[in-house]
Amino acid sequence: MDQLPLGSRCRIVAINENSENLLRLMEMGLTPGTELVIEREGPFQSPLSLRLPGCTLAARREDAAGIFVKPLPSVSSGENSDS
Amino acid sequence: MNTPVRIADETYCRQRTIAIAGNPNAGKTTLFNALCGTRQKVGNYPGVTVERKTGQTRLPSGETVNIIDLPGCYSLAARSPEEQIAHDVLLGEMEGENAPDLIIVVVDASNLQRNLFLTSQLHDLGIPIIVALNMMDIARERGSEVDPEKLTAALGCAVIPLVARKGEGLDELLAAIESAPCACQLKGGIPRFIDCLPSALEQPVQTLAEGLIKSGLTHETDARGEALWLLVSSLEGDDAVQAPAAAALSRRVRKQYHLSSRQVRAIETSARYRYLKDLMKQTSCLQADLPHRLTNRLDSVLLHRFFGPILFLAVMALVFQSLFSWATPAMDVIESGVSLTGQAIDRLLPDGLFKEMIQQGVVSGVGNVLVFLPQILLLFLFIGFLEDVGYMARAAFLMDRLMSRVGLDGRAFLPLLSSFACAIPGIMATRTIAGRKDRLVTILVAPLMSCSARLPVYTLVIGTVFAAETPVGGIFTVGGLVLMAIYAFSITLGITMAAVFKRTLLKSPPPPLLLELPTYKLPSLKSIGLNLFDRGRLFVNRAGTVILAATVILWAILHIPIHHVDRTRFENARQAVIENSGLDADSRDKALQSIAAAEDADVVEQSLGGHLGKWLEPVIAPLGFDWKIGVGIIASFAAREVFISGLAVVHGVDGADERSPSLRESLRDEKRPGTNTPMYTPLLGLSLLVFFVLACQCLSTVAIARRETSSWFWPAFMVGYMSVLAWVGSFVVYQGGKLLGYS
Repeated sequence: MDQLPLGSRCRIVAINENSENLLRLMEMGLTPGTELVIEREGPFQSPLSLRLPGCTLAARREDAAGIFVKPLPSVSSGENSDS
Repeated sequence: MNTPVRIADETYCRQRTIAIAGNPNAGKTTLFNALCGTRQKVGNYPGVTVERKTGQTRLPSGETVNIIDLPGCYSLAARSPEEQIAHDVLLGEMEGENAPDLIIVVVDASNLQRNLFLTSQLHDLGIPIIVALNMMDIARERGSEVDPEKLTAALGCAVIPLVARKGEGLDELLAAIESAPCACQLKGGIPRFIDCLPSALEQPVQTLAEGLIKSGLTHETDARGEALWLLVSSLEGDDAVQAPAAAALSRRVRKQYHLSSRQVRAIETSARYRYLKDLMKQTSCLQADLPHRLTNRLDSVLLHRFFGPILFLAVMALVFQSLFSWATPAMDVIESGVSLTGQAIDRLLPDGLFKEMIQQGVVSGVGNVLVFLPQILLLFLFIGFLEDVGYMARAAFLMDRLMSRVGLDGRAFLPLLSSFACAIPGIMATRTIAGRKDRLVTILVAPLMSCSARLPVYTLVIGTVFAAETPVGGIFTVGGLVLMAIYAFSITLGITMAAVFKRTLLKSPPPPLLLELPTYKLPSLKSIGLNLFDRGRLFVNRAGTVILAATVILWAILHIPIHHVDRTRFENARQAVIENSGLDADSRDKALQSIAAAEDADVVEQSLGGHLGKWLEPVIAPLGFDWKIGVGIIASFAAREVFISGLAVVHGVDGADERSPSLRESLRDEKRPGTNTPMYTPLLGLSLLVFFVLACQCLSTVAIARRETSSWFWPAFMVGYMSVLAWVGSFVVYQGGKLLGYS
């Protein structure tokens, strides 16, 4: 997921379940099958802000590297990032 | 008389306890405040510094129930101390606390699936719950559709829609609490997650459940729920929470099926989310997926790559400036109140040691406590406001990269910044930091940030040993540049020490970033006000008593002579001045004042503090300090700026502050004992400045650290490491300077 440009829409395919941080992010809603928009990034390229249906979560770029996603065509994402 | 009360069931008479649980930002505290109003109190859970908020409310029937506001959590698989508390209370594992009779799970209706996750976990364990479907108004705006009745049917527990912020739906919630019987049981026959596990978990859970029942470790009804919980949570080496027998059993089962607890947790989490998605479909709930327009617009500025950090710095500058200057008028009022009280006591009590103790010990001790209140309240006003509108999460987002380089939490920035004004509110503000070790690191380095109480000391020393007003490069002065260097030094050392602690004593992985960026909303003045009230009261009650006691003890150390002071000498001198008819009234007063000052100096020299100062002299001599500075250092434990009056007293200067020429001159005239060279050279000045940057001479900081860490070890360690640092720093400066040929 860390490879995708800002503003991309994607669906989570798999998550590295050996990372405690990622398990916590899963509990917060980043589960396989979830669709999300990578909205913004913080200063120095990290963290990323991820818009899920219902909430917006932050994840560090290095944590995002453990989340595997399938890019989706960015339809109906008229209201996304400023970049 | 045979009243019905006598035959009533015992449980019927006991006050019921209801816990409020839910995700962070779901509105737990708002609901708690709406239910309890001011009938609440804040304490600590034993052994940890997680706050325990309890209150009471009255049901329509007149029954009074206790309410506990639990820390927010996303899952029962707890990792942070806050979540551990929530978990322990919910499952009735909290020591000294009964399991709650009923749990209200506050659920954010605009993010139903994620919020029902915890609800469903509790459900599996057979714990009686009521779902409070909060923020219905926002959910509707954002395109959610929720049918509480269908949800009630699907979950098998009461689901009450409400808007806690506006108090809508509270009556219905109270009625639901009312009708929930004491031993509230879930309706049977409704499939829970635990009844339809994915195949990967079905076998292990069933095996463990049977094992548990066979060895009599659990009831038959909740066995599966408990089995799943055991498989998820017993991380290797983390078994202390569970009964050892059950944990061993669960380990065996996991081995049998080649599953790690993390794998179980990953499977459980994604399967539960899928289950909840289906549940939402069945109940024709629609997840809101319209982005909150206002939030999106604000974020495109506040989280902007360039403007975001700039605006953040502007907000921080405002907080800092307000602590530095806006608090001053209130602090001045408190200080003049203290001196007025002192004067009143002067008239009321007869002269003597007792009066002095009341005046200088007790009254100024109370002043020492109260004087912190304006800064504490201001800081928590800002924090409460920023937290409530949703900006604090953004601040953590923006600061994460920078702070995680040091190894600190992004939320450590504000406490550390506030510590430049005063470490007391700074340390109190570390509560937002989730990791215990990360929080401790922040508390330990907070006093290294140069607080405003050190400023008078810096001013005095710089003004004494340097030609402070000499211009440099047009706009700067020597004094200004030295001051800037001091602040740079203090920041550098703070960051260095944080990095050192994080890698050694408090070694822990870099704090995870687990952050939700909530939608912006209007702050609730009621919540902020209640919080401010709590902060102030807690500080005065807990830290205040320690500060007061310490001030009185310090006064005694410095003012009660342990050796006889020959007062006749001073009496004779006074007599001589009075009898000298050649003096006019003005110079007579001056002469009398200087005699009184000399007498005070003598008393201090003969006090325990004076002896300590002399006893300390060999230790601090390598830093270039004499026993008089030693006394000043001891005195400054009351508050750093007391160093000045302490130094003034031993030097026999009356009523001096950091800008008085008399004290500066007297210091400049001071000769090194046995020589004719001046004592206060620039080198000694630098050594003294370094000492004051690094040393933890502040009883109030120690008192608040004691309260915030619930231990004496950490404050003792803080004083210890900072004293060592101060000694070494000054030693290097002074001896290094001497080696280089300065004196």
